[in-house]
Amino acid sequence: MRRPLTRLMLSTMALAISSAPAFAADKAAHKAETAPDTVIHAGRLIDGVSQQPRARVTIRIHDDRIVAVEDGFVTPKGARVIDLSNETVMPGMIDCHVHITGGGSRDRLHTTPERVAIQSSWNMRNILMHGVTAVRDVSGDINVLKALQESIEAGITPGPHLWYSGMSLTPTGGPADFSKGQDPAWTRSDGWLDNVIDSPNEAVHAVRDRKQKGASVIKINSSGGVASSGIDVSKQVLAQDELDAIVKTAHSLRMKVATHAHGEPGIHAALLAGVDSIEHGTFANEGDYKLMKDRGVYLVPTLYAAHEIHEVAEKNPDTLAPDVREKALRVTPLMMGNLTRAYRYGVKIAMGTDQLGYHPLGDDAKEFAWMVEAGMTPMDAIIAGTSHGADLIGHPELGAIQPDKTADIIALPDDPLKDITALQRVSFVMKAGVVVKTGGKPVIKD
Amino acid sequence: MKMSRFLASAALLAATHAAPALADDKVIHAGTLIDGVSHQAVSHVSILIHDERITTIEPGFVTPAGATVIDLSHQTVLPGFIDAHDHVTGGPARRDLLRGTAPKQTFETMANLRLILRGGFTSIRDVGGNVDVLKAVKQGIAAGQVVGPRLWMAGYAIVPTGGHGDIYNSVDSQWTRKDDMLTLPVIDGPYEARKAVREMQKRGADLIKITVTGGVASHNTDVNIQLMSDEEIKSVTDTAHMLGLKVAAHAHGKPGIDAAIRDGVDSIEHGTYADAESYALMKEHGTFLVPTLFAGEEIREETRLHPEKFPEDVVAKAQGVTPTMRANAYNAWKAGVKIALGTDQLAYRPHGQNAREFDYMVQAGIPPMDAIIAGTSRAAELIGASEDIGAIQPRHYADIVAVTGDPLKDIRVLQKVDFVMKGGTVFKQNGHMTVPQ
Repeated sequence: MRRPLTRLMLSTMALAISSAPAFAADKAAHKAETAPDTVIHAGRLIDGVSQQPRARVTIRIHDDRIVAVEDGFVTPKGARVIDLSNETVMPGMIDCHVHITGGGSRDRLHTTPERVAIQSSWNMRNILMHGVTAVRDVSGDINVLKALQESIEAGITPGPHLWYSGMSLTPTGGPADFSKGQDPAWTRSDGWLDNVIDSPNEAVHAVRDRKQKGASVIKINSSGGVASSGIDVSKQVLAQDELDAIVKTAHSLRMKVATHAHGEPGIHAALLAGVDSIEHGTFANEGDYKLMKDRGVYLVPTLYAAHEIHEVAEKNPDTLAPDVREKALRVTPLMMGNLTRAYRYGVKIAMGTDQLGYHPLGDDAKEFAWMVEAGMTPMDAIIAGTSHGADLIGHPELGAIQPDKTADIIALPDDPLKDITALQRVSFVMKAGVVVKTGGKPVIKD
Repeated sequence: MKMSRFLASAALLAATHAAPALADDKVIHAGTLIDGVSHQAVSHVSILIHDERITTIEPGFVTPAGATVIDLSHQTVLPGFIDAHDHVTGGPARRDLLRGTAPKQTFETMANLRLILRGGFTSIRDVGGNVDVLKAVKQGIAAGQVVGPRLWMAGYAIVPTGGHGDIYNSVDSQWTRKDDMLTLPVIDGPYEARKAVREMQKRGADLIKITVTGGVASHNTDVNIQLMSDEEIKSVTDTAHMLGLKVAAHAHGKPGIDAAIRDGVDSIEHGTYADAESYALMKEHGTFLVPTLFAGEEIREETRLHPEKFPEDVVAKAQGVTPTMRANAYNAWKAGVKIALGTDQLAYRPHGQNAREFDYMVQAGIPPMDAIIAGTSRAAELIGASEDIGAIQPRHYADIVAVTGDPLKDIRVLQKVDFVMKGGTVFKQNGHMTVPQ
């Protein structure tokens, strides 16, 4: 439903302002390329939902959709065959916690949104080429993210499907209050800093504002953070009435709410307000796990970021504020244990890396190895990074190799159930029925 | 330069998994060489390349030890083309003033730049666009994150109130903006002109663009009238030249053209109604003409097919003014004026068709070799980068393209480029791009 609509709107827009925009033609070319059915012969299939892999399966694809999954290798007349008979085939990975505007300069004062846009485009390409076909961005410049989403949908920028929240909503002094520690005389005219809310009324407005700018999820801070200075992770920062206002407004607008929370009070208050996911969740207790399990709230464990900031604190301690360094060394080692306990308790897990951009973005799949190290079975980790991610994002058409799902499909030469790091070696990527990587190499479009 | 080259290579490495060596030697076996400077083509030569620059040109096909051979022995090899008048930010987002945000323009610009390089243009002088978008893409190209030509840019064109490029000529005057897009480039008086030049230089401009007369594509501006005063123009050229920046002047009508030449601009863009006196002035001052026949064709076609999309005066100007542009290009060439190729693409057509300008120039009567020189070494001279680009000569950047067939017999073969190298890195081979989007 979404795609044809976009295409129609695009054509209308194109008509209104230009006789032959490059990307409208591009879109038509894509359609022509994918018009005959494609079948994938999969040596082993992990469908993103079932616990058991299947051997020797044919996936039939029409346009951007999977239409059938059949036993054995069949080749309908006229169909294009993609031979992945020696590989493990699975849904494209989904990362529910990214900051794709990161990875460039950390110098906020000298980096323009235009430069951030280019860095983001670069990141998205790398992420897609590593087999991640959908991402949820949970804090970044909303103007850049909106333009990026539109450019990806229009086919002029390569990248995974993108959904975004815009900058995290945070109270004065909260982790995402960017004026903290800065000369307070600096201001901006583009709304970048308008993410600080200090009442339920301001919260309602902020949620509506993000909805208007294309956000599909609201990200909030209910506790202090590790990578931000000035407030400890143990403290709850948004008040209960603010949390309630945010969740009520967001849900009425059919938006999800993801909360950044480490300390128990912040986790608990957010759960009482009715959030859809706890991001990080470090100090959650059994009471919280029970609430999460009962209400179907996801945990997004973000072990990647935990290891990343810990590494920075050890190797380049001088680059971090003293309290950030202390938190990085003290808090992040506890994050694996939280996943171990939550998983054992039966909390639903969705994969999310929270890459901080100290490493080039793209190696999201490392998260799976840490998830397995924390005690998840490889198959449950994969499900967390496919169909569970799709469920959390609110796009059930993604994350599974089943009829009627979007043809976001990847292949790996090695078996991830034996060696979870196999997910870091993706040889084939199809997004919405279009092959963007094959034989380990990007498909180069002229 | 060394550093950005390193970054670019490192980034490419990560992107393609191919392995362009950091220090490498290549040799191109060129069936026919047009070097961008000489009027004579030569056959069977070898172009030796070390890292990002050409080292020597040798007769015959030689293969130094350790050098990778690029076989273009059945092709015509030329310097990468140079467009001295382009607007790379052009496209739907830029035209949609109310909704086309700067990030949106940035993504479209990235796509445009790839198409332009694919078409064989390895250097572009952008003479008007969002300065922050242009600066960011320049940084992106240097960092290897954007596939595109070398870029020199003017940022916003500096215009007098009501001049060509003053957005309030058509926009409801009640609209205002939080950024300085509307205020920064509009000047009245020599001191505001001086300040605007300095501001543009500060924001990253490599040259200054001014609009001296009205324009074809802008509402309610008369192409025949000089709109920027002599003292304003003089203030721009004095300040720009002090800062080491060239000045490109948009001008159609003769009074504006002649005034701009006398006031010291480095090039006349369009120059539609120049006459013998103007040509003599250009020769006397060493001023270039950039004829922009592409834009003339494009706006005429667009207003003919879709007159309802334009104000009536723009339709009338497009039909009335642009047919004169070809004759002017020919007359200027015949008079011995220095001509640099420039398209001024308005982006009603997809980007990347810059090479059509060669065909339009030849149709206007300019010989093919002179058109090619206009699009290589002459444009390099106008940009002020003759030491680096626009010629296949030792010490120049290895910016090299190849086509099948003889462009001196059929200039349109330049519109089908088989091979593109920029700074020693191959971006297109056998007609296909070799680097991912």
